[in-house]
Amino acid sequence: MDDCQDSQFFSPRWARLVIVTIVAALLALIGRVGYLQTYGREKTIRQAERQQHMTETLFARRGTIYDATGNVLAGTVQTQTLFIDPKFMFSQFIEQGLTPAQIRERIDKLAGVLEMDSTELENLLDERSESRFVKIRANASPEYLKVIHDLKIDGVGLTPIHERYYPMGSLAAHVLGGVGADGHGLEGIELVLEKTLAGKDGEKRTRKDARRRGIYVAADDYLAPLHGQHVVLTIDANIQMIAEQELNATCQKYRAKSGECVVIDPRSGEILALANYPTFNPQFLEDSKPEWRSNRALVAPFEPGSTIKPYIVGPALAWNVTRQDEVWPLPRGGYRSSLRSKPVTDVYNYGPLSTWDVLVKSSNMGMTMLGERMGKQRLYDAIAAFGFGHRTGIELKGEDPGMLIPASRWGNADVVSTVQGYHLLVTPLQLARAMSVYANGGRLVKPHLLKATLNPEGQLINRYPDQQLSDLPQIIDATTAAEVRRILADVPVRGTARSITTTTYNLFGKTGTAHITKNGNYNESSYTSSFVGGGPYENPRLVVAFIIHEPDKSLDYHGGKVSGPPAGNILERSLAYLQVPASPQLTLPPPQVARVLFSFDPKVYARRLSKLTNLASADD
Amino acid sequence: MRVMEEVSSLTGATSDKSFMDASIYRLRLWDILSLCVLGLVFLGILMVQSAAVNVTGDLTWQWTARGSKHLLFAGLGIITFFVVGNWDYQRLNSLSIKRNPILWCLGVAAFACLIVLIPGIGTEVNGARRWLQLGVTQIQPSELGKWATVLFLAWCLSQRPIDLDRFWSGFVLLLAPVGLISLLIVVEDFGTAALIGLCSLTMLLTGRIKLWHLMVTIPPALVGAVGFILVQPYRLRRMTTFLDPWASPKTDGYHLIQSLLSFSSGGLWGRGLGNGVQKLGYLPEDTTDFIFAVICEELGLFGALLTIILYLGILYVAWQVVRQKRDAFGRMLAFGIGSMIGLQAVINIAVATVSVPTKGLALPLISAGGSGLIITCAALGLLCSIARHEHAADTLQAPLRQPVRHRLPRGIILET
Repeated sequence: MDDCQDSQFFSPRWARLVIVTIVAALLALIGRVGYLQTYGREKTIRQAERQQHMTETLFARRGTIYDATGNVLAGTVQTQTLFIDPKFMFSQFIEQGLTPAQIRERIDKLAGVLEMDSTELENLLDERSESRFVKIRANASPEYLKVIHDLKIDGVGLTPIHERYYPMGSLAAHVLGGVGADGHGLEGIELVLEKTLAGKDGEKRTRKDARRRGIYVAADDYLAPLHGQHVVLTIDANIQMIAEQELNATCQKYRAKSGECVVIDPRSGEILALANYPTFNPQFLEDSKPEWRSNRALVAPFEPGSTIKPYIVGPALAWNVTRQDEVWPLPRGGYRSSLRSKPVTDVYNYGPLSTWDVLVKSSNMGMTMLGERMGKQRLYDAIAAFGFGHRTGIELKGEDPGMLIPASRWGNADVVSTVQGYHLLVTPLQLARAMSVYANGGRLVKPHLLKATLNPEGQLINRYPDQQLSDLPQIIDATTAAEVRRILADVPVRGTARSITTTTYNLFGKTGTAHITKNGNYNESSYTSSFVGGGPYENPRLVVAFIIHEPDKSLDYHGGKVSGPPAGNILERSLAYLQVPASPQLTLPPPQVARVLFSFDPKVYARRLSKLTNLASADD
Repeated sequence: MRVMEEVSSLTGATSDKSFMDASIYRLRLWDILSLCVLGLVFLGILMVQSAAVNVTGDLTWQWTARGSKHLLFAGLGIITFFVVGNWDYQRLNSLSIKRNPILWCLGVAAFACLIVLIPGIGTEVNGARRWLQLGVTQIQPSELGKWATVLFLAWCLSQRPIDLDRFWSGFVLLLAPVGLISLLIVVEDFGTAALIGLCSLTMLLTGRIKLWHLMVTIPPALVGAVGFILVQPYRLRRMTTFLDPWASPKTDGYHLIQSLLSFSSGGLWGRGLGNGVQKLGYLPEDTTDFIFAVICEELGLFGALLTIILYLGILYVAWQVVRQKRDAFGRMLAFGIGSMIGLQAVINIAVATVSVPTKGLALPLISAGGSGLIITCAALGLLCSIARHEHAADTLQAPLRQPVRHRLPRGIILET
């Protein structure tokens, strides 16, 4: 069996044993390799995959926000951000064998190049020495890197970053909102349409070596980023700018605490401008106070005062509770209502006034008498029909529904309060919508901000359907709406808003001057001065709600004086911008009304026309 | 037998005669060896180059510094293999003390192993002083010592210049130089010393050393080795890390985990030549100690099979020589060389597959390592020479001392 040659000094048995053992071991190791490559793999393969790949996020570009005319309100730009990787930097310093003093010297030099305070930079790097990314400077030029490279300092780099850019500064800030440091929307449209605008980041999965350098010859898993969609708003940047200019100027002039302005297209409910004072710059969100960022036009309801009166008189006319030419026997020196012990007074003792003039002159006594006749429930129905107490449904977040207490819970005195515009809370947006009803012939529009969305290539993918006026709820018949509009057109001519000096267009509207409650008591020195109106009277194109809170009483506080003229300016300038033709002379009130009007003088209607003629002759 | 068939199939032998015909075998023995050696060296050139490739963004193929250096040494190694293979190995066999090349070899090796330990002369790499700077190249004295020991033991065990049946004047005298070299090496290179000890043990057993001599010697040697391991905490840690490398994935276990990841990330079929990822900075010592992991990652199980079959081929040649009716020196030397190569391959592969504690041993003929490759080639050339030059009996007339007479009556030999 054993054909080995045995010899005196050699034992083939042992030799065979040794060699067979080695061969067996080698064969066993083949088995071991096979095991590691198949069944033994489960534990290790995941770690191998993890360490051998890196996933690079391909950032999606946030969509642009356009105004209705195609101006960019918010865009995305790619900038180079200079960053420091402190962990790597310090490890390199240590590898170079630098002493702490030398390291400090390097950092001082670096601070010099970066135009930073050296102690500040040192502290920053110390604090975040374990971090891999410390943002130093946005929008940095590559020149920095060259200089830093010459200093032989590692761990400083540039990385492209998508940054939100608001080319128009603070324009429409409250509509746009803003984004946080991570590029996600925090407020306004940026927050509401976060999903649409943000898109979806892609990723590139690359095999990498131990020093995290990608191996580009390897097949990659590539998921292209889905860029964000663009959004077109109904906001018109020009009208928005006009509104903001007038609002800021007024608030500053009257040292007001705050103010809001909403411009709306009464035919479609498109919001053309929405402004708040004080405002902020969405580019520097962190520099603004939260109360500045609050979009008060929708979130801060207030007691409107007299601006509520058209929405009581209108239904009263429609329901034949009264007539335009009904004369109310207003007593001189105050009206003592059976509903309230405290008498109701007007600023001026008019004597008997027609319903027409009750509205034009904003007579509290006349309104109280009308309120007594209507009763709680009909008053409530009238106001509620105009959408007060309900959210308008605008796309922005945090809209307040206001407050309209059901009639069943009213006390008797609440009737007197309600007809004067107290005992209920409304938002500027609700006021603008309610005025649109009279401007468009009796339909309650739905205010909205979104016009369309475009895909990243700029093609239209979704147009928010225009609201057909005929589909909207008719809350008051067109005749009555036209009647009320005609009455309101008298307000700038004969009524409380005579300080509106607009000559080009016939405007209509209603002023309001409301006491502000502080801790449940009406304060004699703080007011809300408002004007809600539209124009041109003949074919209304715009409605504006212009509210000023707490103007300095020593300067003025009447709605007609404080808010009327700037609101008139907004309308006039915007209508001119929209190339709306100038209005003809305002029609006279119907003769049966004119008969009973308070100190009626048809000449006042000609005044505007004569001004126009004067201007024309001056041009010659 | 299956192994033999596999090996011989590599030679492409399709003869009319039965493959098992002994005459054909003997003719082809060194061919098999040459093919295996060339195969391993070429695999080494390929894999060292592949493992040394780095990602620098340059996509055109070029020899890396390490790959080209290895190519040069591989060329020199192959030349050495054939030159030595054409020599008659019996020239080494001499009974003179002064002119004995084997003893000179041993002396030079011991000297080299000694001076490498002197700081300033030995070059330190990775914290171990294992290299001697020799002009343009470096030499690892432990490689020299390893093969000198094999030569010395083969000569001593076959020629019996001293009476090995005696304990002090025979056995201990034989072990003294081996022990000395091992001790010099163990200071910086525990793995090679252990390899020398293991290989010496197989040779001593095969050389009919009295078993009780070994029984007396092995326990103290083991105790010494264990003590040596216990003295340095890191050695003990290394000894146990392989049981659970995941316990210390960042420190001791790192090498082992990365090696395991190479096997798993390659899978059964491998990523393909040059496509390995673990070599790109993850796997340490990817061109030397852990090159087997790179082979497996890139070539899969096929690479492992190829490598191991080529080693089996060398073992087969050694075994065939050992089986021959011929001189004891040739048989002993062939066995020693085969055993050394086989053991080193087994230990290296076992380390790479995390089957035994980590040892810094190269994969013979494949790992990059300059002088070591040439010396290994020379040793295999010697095996080639033995296979080629068949001496019927020892050419030397008589051993220095007469064998002790009462050897035969003890009946060790007669039992076969």
